[in-house]
Amino acid sequence: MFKKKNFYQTLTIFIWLLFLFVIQSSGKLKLFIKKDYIPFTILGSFILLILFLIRLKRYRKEVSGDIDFMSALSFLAFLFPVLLTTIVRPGNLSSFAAMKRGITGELAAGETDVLEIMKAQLETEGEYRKLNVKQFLALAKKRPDEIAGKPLCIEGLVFKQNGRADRFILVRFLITCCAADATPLGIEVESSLAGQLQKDIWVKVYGRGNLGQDKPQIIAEDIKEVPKPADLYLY
Amino acid sequence: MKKTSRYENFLKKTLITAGAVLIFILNSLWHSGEISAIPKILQNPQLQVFTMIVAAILLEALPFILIGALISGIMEVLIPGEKIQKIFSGNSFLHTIGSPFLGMFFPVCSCGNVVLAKRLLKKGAAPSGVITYMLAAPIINPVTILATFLAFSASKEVVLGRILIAFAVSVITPFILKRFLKEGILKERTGEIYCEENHKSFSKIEKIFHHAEVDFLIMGKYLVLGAIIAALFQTFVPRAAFLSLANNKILAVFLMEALGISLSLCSFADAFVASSFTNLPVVSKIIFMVAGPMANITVAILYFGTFKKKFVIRLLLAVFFAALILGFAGAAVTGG
Repeated sequence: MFKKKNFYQTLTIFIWLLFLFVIQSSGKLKLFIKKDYIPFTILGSFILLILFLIRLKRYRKEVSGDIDFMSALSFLAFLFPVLLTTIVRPGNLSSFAAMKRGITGELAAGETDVLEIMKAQLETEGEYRKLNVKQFLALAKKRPDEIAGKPLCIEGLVFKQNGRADRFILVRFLITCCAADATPLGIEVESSLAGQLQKDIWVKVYGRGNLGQDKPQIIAEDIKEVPKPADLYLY
Repeated sequence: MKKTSRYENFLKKTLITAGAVLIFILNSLWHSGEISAIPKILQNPQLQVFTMIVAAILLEALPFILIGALISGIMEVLIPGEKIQKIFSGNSFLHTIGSPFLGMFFPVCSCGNVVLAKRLLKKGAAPSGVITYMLAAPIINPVTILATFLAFSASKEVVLGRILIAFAVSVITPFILKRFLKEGILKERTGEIYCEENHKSFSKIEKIFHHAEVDFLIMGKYLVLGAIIAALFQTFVPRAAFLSLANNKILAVFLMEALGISLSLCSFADAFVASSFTNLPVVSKIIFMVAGPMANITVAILYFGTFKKKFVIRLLLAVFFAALILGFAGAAVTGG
């Protein structure tokens, strides 16, 4: 049995099926792909399940050759991402990814349309208006009066700039399909607390928008460390 | 035969060496009492980002490979070859011109299209039309057009520019490769001999899923390889430094094309990434959005798994140069 190619084919399908099931049921799928794509993954898993069941049904009757070295290697390669993801357990995209991709404060034209701005929450925390990084940048471009000098609070990941103890960049990753296309959006935060912050921690910045510089900024009044949000990305 | 065994020997030796090195490292960590360092090694930012991107590309593309494989299975079992030959034949010029728009009826990303293209060729469709369809469909389809429209704030110039250049490249490429298309471009497979033997006692549904499974197992491993190479590029090559070289419009076209090929983004998403490069000329962004879905690393590896090696090299070169020349011409005419 262990010599037959179809045994390894069945095993490969089963392991991928199990992987997809675990990653979906644990809620970790949204760490890798946009929520809108999850139905496709469910459909894919369903097709894979049928492939697996039909394969099981036909297993004994099937004519199969013996496995050779190259086929064994290709099955191993097929399973490599499953092993890698299971062992490494990636958490979230970090400062390292932001640095490699280059942080931008510019949104794509379609990201700043009126609908997007309308989504900006009117929820507040005390006197501070709750926004996310994308909404802040969209408002800075389209409706600067709504943020210039106004009290705001925004969550994000700390990205430390080299040699600057008085400022850091508050980063969120914007994704369209999956983490491979994630674009790091950033807002510069000026704060006397910047030097004390560790890179890659999640913080909530309370402060006021400042559009006087060449890039929109937040002048922080307070910064609190917060847990990683349930939704790591902006869409 | 000799060549293969030498290659296999090399691979065996490499794997044994890699295994020995791994055992040596684990042994050293164990004896130095630093075995607890392993979780720290796994938290290494490069390794985390690499893993994240490999998994993201696969989890996004795999369902489309499976859907493509299933449609391919349905096509194989339920649609007679003559019907497919009728659609992809007749006046060669006309079907080549019409093929780029078939994606309008079936919006599947590049990975799923390669599986379908293979099945169409097996059913006897004319290669020029299939290659045109395969190259154009990821771009000329409603989802990608809408994404481009949104990403570039309803810019008709960008949307039309992308469609026109994609159309031109997809039509020019089979024309350049016309001589090689006659030779038979599909890779031969031994695995499918078993497939044919097993088919004899299958019901139609079983046959459809059996074909889908064969396609999935073949294409899946190439997709994995493509995802690994694309993730290595994304992890270790700084995108910002790469783009800082694009200081003139001609160089920008070349660098953006190279970036599009290296990043391996889905055609549904690349417009948003392209539009975020605010300081670059528009034509270079369009070339990024044309060459990427047609010839990116992941898709290229899938091509290698489907077509003969020499044909794939010619196909990739033809797409690369056709897009580059059209990009240069566009930059010269529009001024960037």
